[in-house]
Amino acid sequence: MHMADALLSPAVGLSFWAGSATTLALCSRRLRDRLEDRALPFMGVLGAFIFTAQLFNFIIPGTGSSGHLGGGLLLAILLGPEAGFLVIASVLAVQAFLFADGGLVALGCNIWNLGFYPCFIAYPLVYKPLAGKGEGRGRNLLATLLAGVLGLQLGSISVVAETFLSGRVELPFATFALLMQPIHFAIGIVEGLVTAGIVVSVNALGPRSPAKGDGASQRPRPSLIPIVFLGAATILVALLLGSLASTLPDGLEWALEASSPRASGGTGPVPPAVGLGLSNRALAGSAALIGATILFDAVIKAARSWKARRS
Amino acid sequence: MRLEKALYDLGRRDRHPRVVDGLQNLDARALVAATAFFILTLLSFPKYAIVELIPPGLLLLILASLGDLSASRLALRSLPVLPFAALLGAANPLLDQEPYLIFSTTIAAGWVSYASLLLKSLLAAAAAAFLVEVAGFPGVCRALRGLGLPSLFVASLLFLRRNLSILLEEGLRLLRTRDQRSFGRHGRGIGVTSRILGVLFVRTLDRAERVHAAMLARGFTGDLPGNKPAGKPAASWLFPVLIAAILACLRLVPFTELIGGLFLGAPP
Amino acid sequence: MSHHYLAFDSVAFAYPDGSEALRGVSFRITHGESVGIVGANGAGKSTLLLHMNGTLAPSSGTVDIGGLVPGPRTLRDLRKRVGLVFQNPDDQLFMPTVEEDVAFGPLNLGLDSDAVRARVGRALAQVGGLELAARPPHHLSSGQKSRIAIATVLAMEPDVLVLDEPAAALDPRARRGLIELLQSFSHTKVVASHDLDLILDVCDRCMVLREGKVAADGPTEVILSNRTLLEDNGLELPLSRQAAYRVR
Repeated sequence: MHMADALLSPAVGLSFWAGSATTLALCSRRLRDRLEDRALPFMGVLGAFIFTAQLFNFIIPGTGSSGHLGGGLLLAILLGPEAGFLVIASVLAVQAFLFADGGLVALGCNIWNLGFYPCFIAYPLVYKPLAGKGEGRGRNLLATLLAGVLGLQLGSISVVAETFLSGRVELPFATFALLMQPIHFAIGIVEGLVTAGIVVSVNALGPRSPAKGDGASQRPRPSLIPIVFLGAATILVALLLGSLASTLPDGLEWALEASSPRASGGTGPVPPAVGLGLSNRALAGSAALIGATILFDAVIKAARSWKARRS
Repeated sequence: MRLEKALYDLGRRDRHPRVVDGLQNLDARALVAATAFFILTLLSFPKYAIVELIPPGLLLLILASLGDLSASRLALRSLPVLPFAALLGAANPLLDQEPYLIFSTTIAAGWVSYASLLLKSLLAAAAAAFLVEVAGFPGVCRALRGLGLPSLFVASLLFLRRNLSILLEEGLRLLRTRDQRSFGRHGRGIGVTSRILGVLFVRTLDRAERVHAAMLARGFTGDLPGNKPAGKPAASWLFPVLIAAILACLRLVPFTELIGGLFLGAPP
Repeated sequence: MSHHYLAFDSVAFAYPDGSEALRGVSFRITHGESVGIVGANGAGKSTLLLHMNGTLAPSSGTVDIGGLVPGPRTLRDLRKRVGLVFQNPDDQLFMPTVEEDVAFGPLNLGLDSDAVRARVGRALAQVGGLELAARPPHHLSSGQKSRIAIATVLAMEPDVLVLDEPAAALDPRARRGLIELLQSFSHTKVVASHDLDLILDVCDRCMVLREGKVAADGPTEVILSNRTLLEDNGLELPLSRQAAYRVR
């Protein structure tokens, strides 16, 4: 579900970057307040944990296929939504930078899709109300399953929306959604089951919390509404600005394309009236440029080895 | 096994030393900005752009050459980005049947937009790989901090990277224990694996406590000691400005057409 | 160098889950001594060490480190004076490069970059790790990691060096290197270890802990030759002493 850069338009990519960055800033501030100097070591080490956990394959009974964990919901349950969002964001960032798993411009979207919905929608609106304060295994499992499914459904429809808004892929919205949602429903079930299993396992190993003095007498957690509001608002505003701004380059582009020689097809046979095609001049130009670059590269390499041999 | 592969990829990345050359001396923020300009320009190219993408691609190759980076390594690091893009774009040839002319043959324009999508993905990923190779991951992290991202987040990235090999090894040990005591499909299901992850989680929390104690023992008070991004600040910003200017030209001027025109003559 | 001491008076400590780790520990360590702390697992060695730099505070009794009583306001100065090297080097090397790890302490102390660089150079030189400066920690062997972990603490220029199981994961040669390194330090040293032969080589004085209490405290030579004493406290003679008692 990690989106690649080319699927997005600059406007959509940057809007979601703005939204994710705003949310990250708010989460960071809250985590510092709550965890103080524990925040850094805990968030960092847990990031490595989620990264590792995502690589574990689970054999899904009955289907024979395997699934794996996302982790946003798990962290929200065990450490709180702010921690969940920040850790998921850090995992996605490392995956993008070091493993080419998701694009850099798309990172904003990926963080939003995989972090925001499980931590700030599914957890507070579904899990917490249902699971309450240890209502019992069955209820907890149901809460986790529903939250898992919801988080992934929202994330998946978000991918569809972002792709659709960007207009780089021909798939119509409805078809794309019909393909994505059922798949992610199944993934959501796996997420819920695995998350529930881990939570049970962790609780069985003894209660613990990284926040100082967490327990019965903890300070009430600040409401998540400001985060949700500011994050979503940032995206909407940015998208609006982006769509206003993009009418200008579109005009420029139209003017360029109208005057571009491509419409006339160059020196080849007369193309159909629509005018789409690759002119021979463009091909020749490309060949020339590629040749020049190869030459340049060879010269640089020769210069380098000559310099090395001299010293 | 994906865990082993991840460990191996990490190790291989570590084993190939980063090339330290001219481009390293630039402020990493400048490199991040230049990369961002590059990718955003790529994304702004129209749907059917193919030859127009060649000049930016060549620009990247030239920069790689100047920075003594091997193009093949960049390409290798970019490959993982393709599957998802390939999947989503696969419908393009089916849905977009407008005729597109190359030489004298006509193909569905959908193929062209598909190819364009893949090419853009690859170049964007190559630019990202270039950034990380030249600036180094810690350098990129510091640049992000300098560009305004919260310091807790950025510092977490560095810690993640540092702890990753440790946790992957521990995870691998647990997995091998599981595999040794399971047969075929049995013993690898959600139940067992969740328990293992639960154990790993608790061990991770213990580890975090120990690291925290070690940090406190050396005077830590909550923020990593301030690290100014290294490099000649003023001169560095020349780089992204230059790149942006070049990219703007490549984007707005039909460069390949003009060069081709030199050889084949102007249109009638 | 200031004259300093570590004075524990009837220190008791219980963990939040109730387990009593220390039950009235008293001793005084003075400037320049090198003291070994030995005992069976669970005797309280690590807990005792964590009291020396203020990581833990006693449930009862007093801890006095050169006039400083561990508390929120004294922690900073305390950690300048007492450098604690933890058991697992991986827990202590958390920066992207060795250089930055060693610089972490001095930077936190608020020193300017020239002073920091000087300290890093000195600390790395002391442990023979100058050529490792630019390496990321996950590139180092366990022997190298141990030495660099010590360097990270040396850079704080503490008066007292406290080490928890420093040779635990080292191969014989790395262990020998560590022993020689410790012998070369003029700091006041406190070393907790299972490796009784290391204690013999490094420490003049030895304390035996058992179930949270000091069971014996005296010159290393005397304590670690006393087979009965050691066996009563869940230990045995150092390996280098055992041959003398082997019945042929």
